[in-house]
Amino acid sequence: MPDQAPHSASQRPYLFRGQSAVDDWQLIREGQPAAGVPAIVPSTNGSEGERGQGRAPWLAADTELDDALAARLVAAPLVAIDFPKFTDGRGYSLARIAARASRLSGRDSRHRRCAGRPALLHASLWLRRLLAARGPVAGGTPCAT
Amino acid sequence: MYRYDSHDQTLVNERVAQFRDQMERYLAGRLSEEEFLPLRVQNGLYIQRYAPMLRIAIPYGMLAAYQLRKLGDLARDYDRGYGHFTTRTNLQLNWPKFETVPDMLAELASVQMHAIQTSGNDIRNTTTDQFAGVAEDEEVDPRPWCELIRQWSTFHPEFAYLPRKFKIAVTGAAEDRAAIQVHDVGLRLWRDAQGEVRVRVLAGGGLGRTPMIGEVVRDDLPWQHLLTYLEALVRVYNQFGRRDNKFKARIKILVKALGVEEFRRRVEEEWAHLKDGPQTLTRESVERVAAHFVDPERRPVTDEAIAAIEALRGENRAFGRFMTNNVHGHKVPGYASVTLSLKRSGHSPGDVTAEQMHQIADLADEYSFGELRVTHEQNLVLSDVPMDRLEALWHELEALGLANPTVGTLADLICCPGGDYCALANAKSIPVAQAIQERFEDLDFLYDLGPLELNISGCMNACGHHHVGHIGILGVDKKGEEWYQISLGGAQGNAASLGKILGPSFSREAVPGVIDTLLKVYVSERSDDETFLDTYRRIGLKPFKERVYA
Ligand code: HEM
Ligand code: SF4
Repeated sequence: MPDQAPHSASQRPYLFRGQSAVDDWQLIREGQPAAGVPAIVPSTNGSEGERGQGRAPWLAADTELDDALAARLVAAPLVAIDFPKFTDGRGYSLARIAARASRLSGRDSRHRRCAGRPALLHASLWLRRLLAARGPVAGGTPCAT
Repeated sequence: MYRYDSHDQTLVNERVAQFRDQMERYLAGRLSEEEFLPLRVQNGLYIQRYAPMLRIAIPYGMLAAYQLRKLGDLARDYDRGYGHFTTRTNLQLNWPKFETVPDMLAELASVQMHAIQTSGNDIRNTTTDQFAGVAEDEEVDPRPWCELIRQWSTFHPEFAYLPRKFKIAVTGAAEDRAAIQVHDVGLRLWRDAQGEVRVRVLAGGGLGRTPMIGEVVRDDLPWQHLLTYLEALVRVYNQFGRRDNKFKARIKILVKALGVEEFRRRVEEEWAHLKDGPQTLTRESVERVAAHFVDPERRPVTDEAIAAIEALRGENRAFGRFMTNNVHGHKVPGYASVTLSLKRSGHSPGDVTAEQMHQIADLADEYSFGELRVTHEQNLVLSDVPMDRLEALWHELEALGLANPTVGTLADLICCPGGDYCALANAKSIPVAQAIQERFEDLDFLYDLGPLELNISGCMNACGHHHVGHIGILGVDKKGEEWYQISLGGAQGNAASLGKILGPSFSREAVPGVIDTLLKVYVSERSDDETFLDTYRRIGLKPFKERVYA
């Protein structure tokens, strides 16, 4: 189907703030994405691509966050993290550090990410209990990071 | 004893349903072998040498009588009628049918048990002192803290795929009975001048291919910060631990490579972000958990009754032996902890039959408030026996073959399943254990030798803790043949040390004879009341080596 938009094949519906939304981001591992297509590109690709609308950084699992990178994450519409194998869990820690870095830089990611979310399906027993004990707060479930 | 609330129960029930679905998809060919593997190991299901193996979690070794009864049911109904207690205080069933494992997990969930995180590269079952809460030398009861760690680590989403498995041990007593120096993380709870609990945090200990003693990362962590500190520490490991070589992936290699100062710096830097955050423990949250571990209502035992038991000890030699070796002091006068020996010749160390599990559960109900502990030496403990019932209990244990008065002696050896079951083994370990037990059966000889720890592992993974045995035996593969390397001078406890290899390895037949020679050297060299370990530490490896290879 050559005349279809290149990203339509991967459009995935998901829930955001309780509303149905569509994920039409393309992951571009190598080379340059086509103009106008929302694309996730390796963060090592240089920041130019990301700064423009519709460009998001893709972090390798072994990324060590520094201030410069953290600042770029703040400006990014979304941050993607590579899981080279699903048994490689570095990305989980990187996610928490990256989320924290954006928050520290003033981005209100806490509420944006959490508002209206369902229960933490994969949270530890401890977090489940912690969240249950606190109950719902204005703006959604509190983050445990 | 901790009782599940709705959070625990929901989580375990959901996990059973999820695994049942995964198993169905696997059996229907919709999940590949490769996809199913990490799913099944996170539920304790391994493929062993000849059959699957299900490893059931016994959190910090605490077991209620009704739970042990259920384990007996499982061994009888789904397995070959016996189970094996491991050095991580879990229970392994060696012959379950693959497709019935979801049903087994459902049965476990009905008694607040599961097999979650008994395998895989995640935070495994936390272990502690088998006398936690009843020990005479205890400063802080470790059980509530172990339970908090269990809740924090169970399904921790960030730490499900660590570089390698991760084991935590906790003690709060003067004598370390939890081997905290040879764990990925060891925690020693203590009290400061204000009576507040503090935690000494060790990291980077471990056995396996490259055995190491853990180093102190933090000496005086206030209790409020236990979970945030652990989170920071495991996060540093998750990010920087090696993933390119599974033999170098444990935290000990990272701590060694960075040096403990740099490791500490990174942990503290990460912790600065988490400190005082939402996971900080409050007095209330700790008390809620601690309320599960209150002392039972113990009736007083009279001084006359205690005196009568002491008198019987002198009159009845067999009972006296049992008292000396298997009965331990208790924080409450008139009470005792009793070790049930799972080391009997003709049986694999740590094995119990389904019938015995039922009988032991009855004894726990009858004599010890319905509670038991599993020890990392692969025995069971009744932790709260009134002294005026010791004689009756002894008779019952004798009848069940569980009163072997050899706890702490050479006959109480630790042994992994080895080549009889384990797919990773280089050599069998159980027949070696049995040959040693048979050769050194004479009780007077065993007592004369005094405290002696002999540990056997079938391969470098060191499930049998051979590095910390006063005498360690390791199965090695030499051109497809099974050989055994012997080491001396390992020890657990406060003065932990790693054994030194004696020299070239031996055939299986030769091992009991070599042990005999080693013991003869000790007996001829010891002075006064030196133990084997004392003598070894004084005279070193050389005299032993010379005699064995003479
Ligand atoms: C049924 C599927 C899933 C649901 C419902 C879900 C839900 C959530 C929710 C509600 C949060 C927010 C936690 C917070 O704000 O602190 C979260 C965080 C997170 N999720 Fe998921 N998730 C799912 C699957 C996954 C998968 C498959 C991955 C990874 C491959 C993942 C990785 C993460 C990570 C790393 C965080 C932490 C972010 C942070 O705390 O800053 N999740 N998830
Ligand atoms: S030490 Fe080796 S042989 Fe023994 S149980 Fe562990 S992995 Fe198996």
